[in-house]
Amino acid sequence: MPARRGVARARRERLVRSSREHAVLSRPAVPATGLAEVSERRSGRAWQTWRAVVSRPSGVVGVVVTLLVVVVSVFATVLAPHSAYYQFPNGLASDGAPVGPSAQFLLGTDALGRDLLSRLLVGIQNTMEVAVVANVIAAAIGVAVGSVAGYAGGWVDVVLMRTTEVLLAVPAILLAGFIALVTQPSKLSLIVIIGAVNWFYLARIVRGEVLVIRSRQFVEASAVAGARHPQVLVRHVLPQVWPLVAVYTTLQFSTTTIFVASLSYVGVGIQPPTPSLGDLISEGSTYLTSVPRLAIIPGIALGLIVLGLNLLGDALRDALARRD
Amino acid sequence: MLRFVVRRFLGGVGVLWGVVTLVFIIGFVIPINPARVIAGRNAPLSVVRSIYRQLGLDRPLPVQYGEYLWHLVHGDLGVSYATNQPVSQALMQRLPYTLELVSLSVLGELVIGVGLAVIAARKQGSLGDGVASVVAMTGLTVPTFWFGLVLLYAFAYKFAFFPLGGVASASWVVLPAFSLAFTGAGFYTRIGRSSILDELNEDYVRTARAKGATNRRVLIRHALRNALRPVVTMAGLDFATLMGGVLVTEQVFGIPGLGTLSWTAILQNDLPMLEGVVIVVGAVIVVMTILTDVLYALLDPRVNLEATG
Repeated sequence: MPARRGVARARRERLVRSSREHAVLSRPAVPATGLAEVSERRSGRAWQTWRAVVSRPSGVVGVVVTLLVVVVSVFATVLAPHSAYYQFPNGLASDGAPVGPSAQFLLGTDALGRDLLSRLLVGIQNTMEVAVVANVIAAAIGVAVGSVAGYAGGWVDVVLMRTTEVLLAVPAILLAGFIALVTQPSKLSLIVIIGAVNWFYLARIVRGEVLVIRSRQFVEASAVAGARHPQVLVRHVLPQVWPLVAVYTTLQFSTTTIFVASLSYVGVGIQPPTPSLGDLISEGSTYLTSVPRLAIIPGIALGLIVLGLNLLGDALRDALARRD
Repeated sequence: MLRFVVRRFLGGVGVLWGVVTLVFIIGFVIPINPARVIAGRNAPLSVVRSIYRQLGLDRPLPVQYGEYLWHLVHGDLGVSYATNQPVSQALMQRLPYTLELVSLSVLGELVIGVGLAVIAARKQGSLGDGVASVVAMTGLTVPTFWFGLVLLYAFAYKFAFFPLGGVASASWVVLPAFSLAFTGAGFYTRIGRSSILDELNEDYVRTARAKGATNRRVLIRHALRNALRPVVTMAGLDFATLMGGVLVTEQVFGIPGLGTLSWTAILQNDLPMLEGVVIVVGAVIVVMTILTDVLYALLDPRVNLEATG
C-alpha cells in the first residue's frame, strides 16, 4: 500500500514540524498540558456546564423532573402507599368496576382492585431500571464500535459502518421481537434486547467525531511519543468524545423509555402482573371507554418523564455547544 | 441523474441483502427447532427427524443459505408455522394498510413539522414562535401509542367522528396517521426552524431583500427550499423509527397491517412470518430512503450526483 505509506510519512513530517514548534517531544509521553492542569480544567468545565444548564428555566425543570424520577425509581416501594399486587376487597365497587380516587386510593384502583398509585410508582421503577441499564449498555457498545471504526479506518470502518446501516434498516422493535420468540421476556432479557438494538446511531455519531479528533495534532503527537493505539484511543481521543456521548445518551434516554413502554404495550416487554408503564397503559386501554383514567394517568407519567429527560438533554446540548 | 438513481438503487439492494442475511443468521442462531414446532409438542422423535430432513435443515449451512436466497428472489418466504398459509401471501394482504398509514404519516409529519417551522422562523421570539416550540416539544414528549389511545377516546368515543379502531370505514387512517404525524413532527419543526434561521442570514437572502422581495417571498421562495435539505436528510434517517411507531400504532387502532401480523406471529412462535415481516419492512425502509436521496438531489442542484453514492 504505497499510498498509505505516503500518508504516514507526510503525517510524520508534519508532526516533526509541529513538535519543533511546540517542543512537545522534549517532555516525552506527556502531551501539551500537565495532568494537574487537565483535571483542574475538567472540573471547571463540568461546573460551567452545570451553571449553563440551570441558568434557564427549562433546564431547571429538566433537572428537577429527572431528580424526581431518580428518587421515585430508587424508593418506589417505600413511597408506595400500598402493595402494588394486593387486590383490595374494597378496591372494586359492588358492580365490579374499579373505584375512583379517594383518601385510601389516591388515584383510584385498577380493574383488579389494586392501588393504581402504587402500581404506577413501582411501574416507573421497573421501566426506569430497564431503560437505565439498557441505555448504558447501548452507549458502551456505541462508543466502542464508533470509536474503533473511526480510529482504525480502512476495512474495519467499512465493515462496522455497513453493519450499522443494515441494522438501521430494521425497526428495533422487530429485532426485539425475535428475542421475545425464544424466551419469556424478563427484565434481564429486555435489557439485553434494548442494549443490543439501540447503539447504532451513537456508533455513527461517535465515529464522525473520532474522525475529526484523530486528525488533530495532539493525537499524532502522542503516537509519535510512543503510545500504542489502544492507549491513544482511550487516553487521548475518548476524553474528547464524552461530552457528545453524555448529551446523546441523555436524549436517547427518553427514546429508550418510550421504547421500553412500547414493548410492554405490544406484549413483548415486562410481563404482568409486574407493573411497568407500558403494561399499565396496555391494561388500561382495555377499559378505555369505561375507565379512561387507567390508561391516561400512566401515559401522563410517562410523558412527564420523557419531557424532563428531553429538557435536560437539550440544556446539556446547548451548554456544550455554547462552550465550543 | 439516471446514474445517481441506479447507484443509490444498487446501494439499497446491498442493504437489503444485509437485512436478508441478518434474518437468516437470526433464524439459524435462534434456539427454535422448526421441525419440532411443525410436528407439535408430543410428536415422536422420528417424525421430528423426518420433518427436519424434509425441510433440508440437515444440509450444510452455505447450501441452506443459497437455497434461502434462491427462494427469496422468487418471492417464496416460506410457510407460516401457525396457519400453513404462504408467508408472502399473508404479507401481501397486510402490506397495503401499512403502506397507506406510513405514507400519510410521513406526509403529515412533514407538513405539520415544516409548517410550524415556518411559523416559528418568520418572526423569532414572537407568539407564533413560542406556540410552535411548545407544540413541537409536546409532540416530542408524548408517547405515540398513548397519544393514539387518547385520540381514540376523544374523537372516536366521546365525539364519534371516526371509527373506534378497525378499517371498516374509509376514514380509518385519519386518527392513526395524525397520532404518528403529530408526535413525529416536533423533530422536524426544530431542525426546520434553526435551518431556516441559518438560511435567512445568508448573503443571497440579503440580495433578494435588496431587490425588493417581500418577507414572505424571501422566506418561501428563497430560504425555505435550501432550509429543507437537513429536514429531508433527517426524514431519510428516521424511517426505521417511524416504521417501528407504525407497527405499534397498528396495535392501538386494530389495523390489520404488518404490525399486528408480527405481534401475533411472536405470540404464536411463528418464526417464518416474523422473518417475512422484517424483510418486507426492511424493503419498505430501503425504498423510502432511496426516494429521499433522490428528492434531496432534486431540492439542491449543488449536490454532486456523481460523487454521492
